[in-house]
Amino acid sequence: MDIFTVDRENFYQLDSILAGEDLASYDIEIENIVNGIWNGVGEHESVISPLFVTFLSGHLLRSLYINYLSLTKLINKHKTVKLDASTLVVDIIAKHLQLELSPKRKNLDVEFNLIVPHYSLRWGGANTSTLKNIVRSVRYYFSEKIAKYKGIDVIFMNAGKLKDDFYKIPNSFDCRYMPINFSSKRINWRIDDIKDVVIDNINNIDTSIPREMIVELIEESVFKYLPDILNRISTLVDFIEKNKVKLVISSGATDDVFISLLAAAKITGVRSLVVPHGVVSMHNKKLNNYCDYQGVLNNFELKYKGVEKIPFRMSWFEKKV
Amino acid sequence: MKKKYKYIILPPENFHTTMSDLIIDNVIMIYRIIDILNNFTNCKSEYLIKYRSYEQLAMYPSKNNVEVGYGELLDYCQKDSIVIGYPGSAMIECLKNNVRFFSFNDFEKKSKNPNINTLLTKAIYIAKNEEELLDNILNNKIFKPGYSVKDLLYSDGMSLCEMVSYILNNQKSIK
Repeated sequence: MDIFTVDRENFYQLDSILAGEDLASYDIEIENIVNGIWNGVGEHESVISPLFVTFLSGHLLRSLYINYLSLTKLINKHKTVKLDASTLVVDIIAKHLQLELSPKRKNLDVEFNLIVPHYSLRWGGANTSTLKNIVRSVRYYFSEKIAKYKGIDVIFMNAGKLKDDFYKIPNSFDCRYMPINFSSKRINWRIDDIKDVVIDNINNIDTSIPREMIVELIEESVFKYLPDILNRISTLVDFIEKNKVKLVISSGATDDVFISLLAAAKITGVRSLVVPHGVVSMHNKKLNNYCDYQGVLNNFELKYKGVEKIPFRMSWFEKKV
Repeated sequence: MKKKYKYIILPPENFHTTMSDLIIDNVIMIYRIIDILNNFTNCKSEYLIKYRSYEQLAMYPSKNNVEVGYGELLDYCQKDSIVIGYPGSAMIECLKNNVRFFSFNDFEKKSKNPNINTLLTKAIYIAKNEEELLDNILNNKIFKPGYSVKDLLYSDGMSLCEMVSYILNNQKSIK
């Protein structure tokens, strides 16, 4: 028995202690949590249902389970486990297992996709300086004025690779950087009620790891972003109605800022189109029967149920070597 | 103008998508791919490890030639380049340009996540380990019988502008 220090380098290989184990039952448990998380949240359940699904399923919960199982095995092998590197997920586990967390530990949330700063940025951009955001806000202000003057039929969010394609759409407007209007009264989300129901839902699921860690993770990640995402939906609803927008297009189906645009379309009854910005490896099955049209690149793309499929040709793939 | 490489490795883009999708397995796979390439060439300058982000570089560090950037893969390719990576947009870009792309991704491990799309395995040889990858490279196995690069993109697809026009004009459904 000895002291095992988890530093930045070996943090990446913390999961090696689980190699070769059959962990499939945990996958079922995680999908159960994700599938039922929004059950019974009230009148907006159908609108909210695709939110945070990918974040929870693909990042947060599996990180929680994998790191919890890894660390519990490590503390059986070593007298002391000390953490000089961590993530918000591992911090939660460490507190529960009473591990030694260095106050100067290296934070690896970004490396492990555990935070999404652009979810809560007023201007919707990520990894940018204050100066860039000021420039962006000024540019946005004038582009919105010009677009409104010309008339807006289509609003869209471009996740990348489709700039040339979106640019050609007449009377269209990029709403990716639309500032969130926190004073919109259009929808009363009852956020505190939603949070209470979500916690109840988790408390009603059988879990094989301590439930309080799951609740803490939801509070520190999903609940952290939820008000901004819901207010973004309200802002987009206001914009769609005020400008009589006819169609919204999202080139993302797993990022919650992009889903907020589809949600706004659902609330307003405006038609919505989701298109890929490349080969789609992750699907959001909660978008079944949610949007109206789906652009698909080939026969190997997962198709959403209840959605009209349109074969899509994106200009990115016309590039030559 | 960027330097061109004979071999380019694209490290994995995701991890922990299922409980058995472990980072350690990805790290080992990268080292084994490098071993395979070292058997093809003794000159390290002939291959590049191309990362999408510095976070990815931190996860799969390398002392070989490395470049970090998004959407610039073809700039490093020549006609006889061989690219090894996850089957994604880079794969289509390469294959459309007659650059050989050999895919790896252990989709058996990932099938426990219902949101992961594994349909490409119908058309593409996707190695789940280094033995399969080496076999695919040596035997030039990219497409499964009956499939070709033409199946990766609809030839009659609409542009985004045409789709918008189609929807706004409410034409007859093609569902």
